[in-house]
Amino acid sequence: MVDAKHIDILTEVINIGVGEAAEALSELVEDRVELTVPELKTMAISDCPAYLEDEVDSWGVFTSQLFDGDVKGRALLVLSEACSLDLVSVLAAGEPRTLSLTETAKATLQEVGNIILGSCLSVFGNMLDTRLSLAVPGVTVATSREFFGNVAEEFEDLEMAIVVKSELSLAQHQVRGVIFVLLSFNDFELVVQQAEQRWAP
Amino acid sequence: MTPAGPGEVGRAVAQAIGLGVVGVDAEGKILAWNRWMHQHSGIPEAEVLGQVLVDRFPSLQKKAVVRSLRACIELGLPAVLSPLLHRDLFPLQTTLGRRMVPMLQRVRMTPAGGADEPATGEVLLLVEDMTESVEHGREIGRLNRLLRSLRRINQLIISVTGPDELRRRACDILVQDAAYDGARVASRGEVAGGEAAAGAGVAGDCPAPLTFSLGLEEPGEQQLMVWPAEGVELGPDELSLLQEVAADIGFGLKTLAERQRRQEAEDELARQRERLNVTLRSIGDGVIACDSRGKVSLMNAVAEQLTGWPEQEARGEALDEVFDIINEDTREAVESPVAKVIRGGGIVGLANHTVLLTRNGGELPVADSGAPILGQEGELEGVVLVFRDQTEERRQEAQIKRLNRVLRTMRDVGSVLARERDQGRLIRQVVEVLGGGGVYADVAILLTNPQGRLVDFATFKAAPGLDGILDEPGQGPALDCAPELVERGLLWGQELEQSCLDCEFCRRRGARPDAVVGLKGEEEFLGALLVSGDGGDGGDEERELLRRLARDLARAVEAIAAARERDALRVQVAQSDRLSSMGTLAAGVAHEINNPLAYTLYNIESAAEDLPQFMAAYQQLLAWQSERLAAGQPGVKGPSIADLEDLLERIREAADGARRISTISRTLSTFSRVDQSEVEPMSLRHAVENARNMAHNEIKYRARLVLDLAATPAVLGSEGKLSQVMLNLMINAAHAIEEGDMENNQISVRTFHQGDNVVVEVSDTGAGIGAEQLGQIFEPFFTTKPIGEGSGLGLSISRKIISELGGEIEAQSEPGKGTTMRFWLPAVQEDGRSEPGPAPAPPEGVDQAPPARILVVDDEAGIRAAVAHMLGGQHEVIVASSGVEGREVLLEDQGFDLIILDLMMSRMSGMELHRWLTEAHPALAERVIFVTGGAFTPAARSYLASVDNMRLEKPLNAATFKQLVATVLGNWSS
Repeated sequence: MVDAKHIDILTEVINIGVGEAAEALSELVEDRVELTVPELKTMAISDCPAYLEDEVDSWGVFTSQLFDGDVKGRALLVLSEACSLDLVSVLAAGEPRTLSLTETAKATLQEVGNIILGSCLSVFGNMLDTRLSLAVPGVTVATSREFFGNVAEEFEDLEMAIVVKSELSLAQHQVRGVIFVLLSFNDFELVVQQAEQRWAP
Repeated sequence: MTPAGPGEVGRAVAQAIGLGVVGVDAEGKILAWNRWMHQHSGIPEAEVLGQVLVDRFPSLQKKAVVRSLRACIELGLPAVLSPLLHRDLFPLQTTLGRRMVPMLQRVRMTPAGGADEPATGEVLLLVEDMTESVEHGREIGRLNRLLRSLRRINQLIISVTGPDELRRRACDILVQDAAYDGARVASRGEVAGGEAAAGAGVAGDCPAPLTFSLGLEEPGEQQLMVWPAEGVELGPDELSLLQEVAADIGFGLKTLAERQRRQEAEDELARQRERLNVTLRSIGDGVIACDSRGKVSLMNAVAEQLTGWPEQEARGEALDEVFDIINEDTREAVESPVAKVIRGGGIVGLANHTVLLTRNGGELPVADSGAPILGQEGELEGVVLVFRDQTEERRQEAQIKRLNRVLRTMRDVGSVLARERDQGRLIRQVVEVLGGGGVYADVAILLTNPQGRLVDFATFKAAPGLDGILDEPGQGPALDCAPELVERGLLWGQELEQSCLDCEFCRRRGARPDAVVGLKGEEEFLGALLVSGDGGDGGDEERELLRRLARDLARAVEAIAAARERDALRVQVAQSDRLSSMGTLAAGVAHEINNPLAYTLYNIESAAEDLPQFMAAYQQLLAWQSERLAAGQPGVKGPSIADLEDLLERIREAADGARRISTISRTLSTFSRVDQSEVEPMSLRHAVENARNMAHNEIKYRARLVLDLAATPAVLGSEGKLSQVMLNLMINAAHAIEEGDMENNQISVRTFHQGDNVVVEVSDTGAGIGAEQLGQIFEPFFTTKPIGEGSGLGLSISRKIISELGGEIEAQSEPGKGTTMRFWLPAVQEDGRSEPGPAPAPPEGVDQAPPARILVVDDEAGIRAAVAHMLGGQHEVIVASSGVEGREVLLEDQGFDLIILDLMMSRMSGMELHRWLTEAHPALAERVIFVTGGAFTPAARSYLASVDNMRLEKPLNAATFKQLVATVLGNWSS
C-alpha cells in the first residue's frame, strides 16, 4: 500500500502546488501569503468527514471545488466567517465591510477559491501527467455538521484517500485559513509510479 | 460552433436568457455575442464576431482574466471573475434606480460542451449583472458601519465630559467609522462647533450637506450636518438611521447640560462644606464651642489632641472639665474665658503664663481667647474658645536667648583669634573664652599632627586624668572620631553616639562631649573642638555657629604654623646664602693655598726623601774627619748625626702638617658646593669623611671618634649637602658631650646596608634629650644650646635635605645616656655597584716606565719646578708657563707622550688649550692629564664632565704622582 516513500513524493508534488496557490493569492491581495508545509494523511474515505470535523476549529465559510479524472477529490478552503469578510474587504479595497456574506462577497470568494485551488490542482495534474476536470467552486456558509458528512459523498465508492492540510495566512492582514485537499485514487500505485517516473532523476 | 440542432436551441436560449453570453474559440476569437450583450453594450453581434476577444475589449487584458481564459481554453478549467475584483470587464451599462451606471459584472468561464464530451477548446463566458447586488452589499455595509457609529456615539454620551467633546467626537466617529466626507454639529449659520472632515475641506466649496435636527428646543437650534462621499446616494434606511444619530446626539447634549447643572450645584455645596471644615481643621489652633450654659458642643481635632479629650466624650461636659487651666507661676485655677464671656459678653484673651492640664496628666503652656456666638436677635447662643500650644514658642524664645549668648561668646573668641600669634596660648585662650561665656559647661581643643596623633590640647575644666598624655613626643593618642569628623565636620547627638569610639582622650578626661567639631585646615585635619552644654540647645543655628568657629580656629592655627614656617624659611635662606658665600670664599682660599701648598709639600717631601742619603754621606765624612782628627790634623766642627736626625724628624712633621692642610683644603671645596642641587650616585663614606675632617676640632677634646663604615651601595645625593648633614650630626653629637673627659666618651658613626636602604647612625654618649623636647628637635629654631650658640636650624635643614632625597631621619635619646641620630636613604639599585674599595696598588715596577717626553703647562713656577724635579730624573720634561706658551711649544713640536695641563690659568686656560688641541691634534688631546687647584667654575665643571681625560687634584703627592704617570704611560705604550 502507501508507504513513507510514496508520501514523500506526494508531499513534494503537493508542496509545489500549494506554493503556486500561495503565489496566485499573493498577487491578488498584494500581500505576502504564507502557507505551511502540507501535512499528508492516509485514511479510509469513510474517515474523512470525522477527520475534517476535528481539524476545523470553528464554523465558517467553505469554498469547495470538486475535481475528477485519474485522481478524484475535493479541494477545500476553510475560513472563519470574520476572516472571509476580512479577505473580501482586503481584495475589494474601498468597499465597506459587511456583517455577513453578500452575494457579491460570495462571488469574490468563489474567484479566490478558484484561483487558489485551481492553481494548486493544475500543478498537481501536471505533475502526475493526468488531466483533471474541475467544477467552478461553490461557497457554503456552514451552519451544521452535516456539511462534513457530504464532503466525501462523491467518491464513496473508493476506499482510501490522502488528505492534505496546509494552513494559510496573510502577512499584513488578520486573515487565517486552512486548505484541505482530499485525493482518492482508483489505483494509487499507478499514480505514485507516474509521479516517480516523472520525478526520477 | 457547429450550428447543429441542439446548438440552435442553445443559441436561442442564449439569446433569450437574462445573462450575457459570449462564445470564444480555442484561439480566443468571438464566436457568439447574445442580444443581452448587445442591449447593454450597444454593440451588435455582427460587429464583434470573429474578432479576438481581448483585442476587441482591451479592458479584459488583465493578467488574472487572461490567465483564467487560457486555463479554461487549454485545460478546460472553469473560472469565475468577481465584480469586486474586476471593476471593468465588458463595457456594459445598466440602470440603477433611475440612473444609467457602468455595469458591475460577474463572469463565469466554462468549457463549452458537456462533461463527457472531448474538450473543444471553446469557452463560454456567462456575464451576470451584479450592479444591484453590489450596490445592495455596499448599502448593507454602510448601514452596518452607521449602526456601529450609532452604538459608539451612544457610548460616548456616557463617557464624555462636556458637550463640545461629544459634538467633536461624534463627528469624528461619523467620518472615521461611517466614512462620510465630513460631519458637523452646529447651530444654523454657525461656523464653529463640533466638526470633522475627511478629504476635502468641509467648510469651503463643498456641496450642500444633509442636515438633521437634533430635536433640541432651544434658540438657534443645532443640527447635524453630514457630507456623504462623492457619488454615494443615501437610501431611506440610511437617512432614517442618520436622523436617529442626530436625535441621540441631541439627547446626549441635553443630558450633559443637565448633568453639568446638577454637578455644579453639588460642587458648590461640597465646596462650601469643605471650606468650613478646612478652616476649622487647618486653623492650627484648638477650637471648642460651648452653648450658653458653658457645655461643650463642638471640638476640632487640634482641641482634641491638646486637651486629650475626644470630641464625642467631651460633648455635653462642662468646659472647665475639658479645658482645665491654671496659672503657670501660682499654680492656681484660672477662670475660664467662657465664663468671662458669659459674664461680660465681649471678647476676652487669656492672661500670660497659663498652663493647660491635659486629660492624661500633662501640662501645656497655652494662649487663648474666647468670643461670644450671638443669635439673630443678638442674644448669646454660646461661646467659642480658641487656644494654641505655646511649647514651641517658649522653646524658640529660649533658643534665641541662647543663640545670643553663643554669638557674643564667639565674637570674643574672634578677637582672640585675630590677636594671638602663639599656637599654645591661642588654644588656651579660646578655651577660656568659650568656657567662660556661660553657654558651655566644658570646652576642650585638641590639636593633632599629620599622623592624627594628639600634639597639644587645652581644656576649660581641669582634667587630672590627662596629665602626662603628651609625654611621648609624637606618640600622643589618636583621635578615633577623626575620619567621621573629616567627613561630616560636626558630630552631635545620635551621630556622636555612633561615631564616638570612646578613645583615650575622652576616657582619661572622664567626660564625653555633647558636640565635636573637626578643625579642618586647607589640606589636612588639624584637630577638634569639643563642647559640653548646659542642657540647652540652640538647634541648627548653634551648630552652624560652632562649625564657623571651628573653621576660623583652624585658619588661625594654620596661619600661625604658616607664619612660623615662613620665618624658618627666611632664616634658612639667609643661612644657606651665608653658607654658600662662605663656601665660595673657602674654595677661593683653598685654590690660592693649593698651588703654593703643592710645591711646598713636594719640596718638603723630597727633602725628607733626600736627607737620609745626605746623612749617610755625612756620616762617612764624619768618620773620615775623626780619623783625620785622631791623626792630629785640623777638622771642622759640624752638627752631629743626632742633630741631623732631629732635622729629618722636623722635616717629616712639616710634611705631615702640609698634608693635613691639603686634606682640609680639599674638604673645604666640597663644602663650597652645599647649594648644588643636582644629585648623582655617591658614596656616603665621602660625606662622613668630609664631615670628620671639618668636625675634627670640635670632637678631639671631647670624645673618641669611632668610624664603622661598611661597604654600602651608592645613594642618590649631592656630596655637599650630605656632607653638611653629617657635619650637623657630628657637631651636635660633640656639643652634647662636656669637654675634658675624652677617654670616657665616644662618638660613633656607623653606615650599613639594610633592606633597600643605606643607613647612617651617629651615636654619642652625651647628655641626651628629654622626651618633651625630643618631639621638637626637628622644628626650626628649636635648640637646646644657649642663646647665640646654635641657630636651631641644623636638624631642621638636615631633615629637609634627607626628605628631599627620599629618605627619613629619626632620633632616639635617653637623658644621661646619650643620643642616636639615624637617617636612611634609598640605595641606588644600579647593577649592584657599590662604592669602590681602596684603589688597587700599581703593579710592581710600573714606575720604571720607559723614558718619555712630557710637557708641563702651569702658570705656577713652583709647580713647574716640582713636577720637573719629580719626573726629570727618568723622563725628558719640557715646561711652559702659560696656555699661550704651551700652544707655541705644541705648534713647533708635537712629539710628546704626555701633557700635564693646569686647568685654571690666567692667560689662556687649560680648557682653551685643550679645545684647540682637540681640533689641531686630536691624538695629542687624548694625552692630556688635567691638574686642578680645587675651585671649579661652572664652565670648568661642565667641561671636565664632557671630556674623558684624567684629572688630578693639587696638591700632588710625589709618590702617587710618579706612579700614576708611570701607569698611564705604560698603558698607552702597550
